[in-house]
Amino acid sequence: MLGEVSLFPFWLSLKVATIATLLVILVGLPLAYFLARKRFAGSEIIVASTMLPIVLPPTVLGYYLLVLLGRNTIFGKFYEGIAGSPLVFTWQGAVVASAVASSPYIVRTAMAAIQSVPREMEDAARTLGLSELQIALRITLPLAWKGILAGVVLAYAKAIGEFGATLMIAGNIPGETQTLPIAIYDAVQAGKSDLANLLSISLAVLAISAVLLVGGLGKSRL
Amino acid sequence: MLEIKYIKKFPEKTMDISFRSERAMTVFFGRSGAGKSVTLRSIAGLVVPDSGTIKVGDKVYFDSKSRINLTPQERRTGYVFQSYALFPHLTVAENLLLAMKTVPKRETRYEVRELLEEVGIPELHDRLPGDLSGGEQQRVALARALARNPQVLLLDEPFSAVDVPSRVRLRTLLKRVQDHRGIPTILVTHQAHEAFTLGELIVVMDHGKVEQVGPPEEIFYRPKTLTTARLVGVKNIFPGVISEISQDTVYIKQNGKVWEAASLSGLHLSPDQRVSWCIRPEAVMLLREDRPLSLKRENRLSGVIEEVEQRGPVWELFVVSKEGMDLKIELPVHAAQHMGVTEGKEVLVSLKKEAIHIIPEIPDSGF
Repeated sequence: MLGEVSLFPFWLSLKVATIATLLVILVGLPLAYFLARKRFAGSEIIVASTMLPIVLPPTVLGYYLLVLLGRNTIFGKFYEGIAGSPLVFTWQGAVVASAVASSPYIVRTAMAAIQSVPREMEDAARTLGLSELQIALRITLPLAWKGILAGVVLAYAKAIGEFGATLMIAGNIPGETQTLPIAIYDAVQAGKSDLANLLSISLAVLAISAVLLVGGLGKSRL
Repeated sequence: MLEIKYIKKFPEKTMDISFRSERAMTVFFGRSGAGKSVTLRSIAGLVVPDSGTIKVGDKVYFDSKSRINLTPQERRTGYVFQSYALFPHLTVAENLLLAMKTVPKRETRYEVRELLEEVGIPELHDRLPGDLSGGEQQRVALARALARNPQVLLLDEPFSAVDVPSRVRLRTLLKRVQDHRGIPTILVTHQAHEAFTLGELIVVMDHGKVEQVGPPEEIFYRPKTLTTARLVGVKNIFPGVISEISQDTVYIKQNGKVWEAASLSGLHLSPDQRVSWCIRPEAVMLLREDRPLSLKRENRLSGVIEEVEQRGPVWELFVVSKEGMDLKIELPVHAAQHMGVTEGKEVLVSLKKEAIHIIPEIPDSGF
């Protein structure tokens, strides 16, 4: 019976989570650096709003993403014009859902890690003639990398298990947008408990390894 | 040459600083929160004043009128932070290398060795800052500050976090480096003896303002304000009224007693003016019992030793005079023992005329 297990949801989940995490690093890390070091009018509102994806129920988050990115919206049309295919109900839509849902884990942990680097280190680097970019790359990020990496691992674990928002925006199309968590839901709905068991264990193993990895990072010296 | 004049408003205080220094070693002296570090940071460009001018040598770092404000990167200052701010993930050599962007690549290795030799730690080249003692970290911080060949050296409480023997060695090292390189240096301290021994020019700061600028002798023995007097440890400060001014003596009335002070040019005093007069605790003389009357001593006073505090090489005595004046006296330990100083003993003291200093300010109640 298990011989007919499709590996597609595994690969799709890995692909979606990897791309989503990279996306969040690319956008979220500079944002975290900026928010950690700059104070301006309204900065506290932006900082607070980075928590929204955790605070909102996943289905609500998914619904708003759908409202924002659907085929008849500005974003949706813009994306379709460039990519040639819509964003909703595709695996790319799942990437967006995972990225948004997991973004707080990177933004918040990276912010805390960057804030824990003494300002005096950066000031010292300034008096030594290092440019702001050099300071970020050679001083602040190397000193904050442990916290940032912990955030990345947590974000990856969240992205790989994302369910609610993904279902809303990408749907449940086997072989196209059916990720691992959605496949589990599908298996349970269809009464395939053996399959549900197998898929659940593999997802649990992935999540637990992520937690262990974060714990190990905390103990390593540098 | 340093020329600093700036205003900067913070929510909790306003900085209004102005002084010039032509000396090699300028010391910022004052309590914490006086504005010493903020001024150092303004010179380095880490704090931007609201208005003013900051000049180091012939270089204008900041001038609000002509809209000049060099970034910290554009100013060449060697800053040694109180916490040292060494980069913990980089070795000693790498810490220094970061500051050597202008040095040609093939010369940097040699330069790093030279610098570490100069501060006496060539063997620490490949170590991480976390593995070094406080004194060693201090030397690395100094070497790193020198690596950019700075126009001014800025030292923020550099000796506060090291033990006493290293402190003495570090002072000697600093003196040698300074003599060798001839870089103008500003040192921040809240310790009076450090300001006195190291400073060629002392800038006394309090509550964001400059209280007095001058050489150590002037600051310590001829403070111009009560705040400066208290900061430098004058301790014995009394109110009085000028009764008479002669060629070489100023007579001060206080509680029916008349005190003689040496007349000092530069002070504009007039009879009946209310003033403060003070004397440093180490300048008060304890007279020997066996021959008090044989010598003419000015400003004599008898009283009882209320308390003796033994502070290592110096003993501090609290004497209350018959008229009810509180006097603090500092004596070297050998003198105190020789005189048989004990609590409850009656003593005769003399306040030397030359040691009495007049401040044209009326004492307030608190400090």
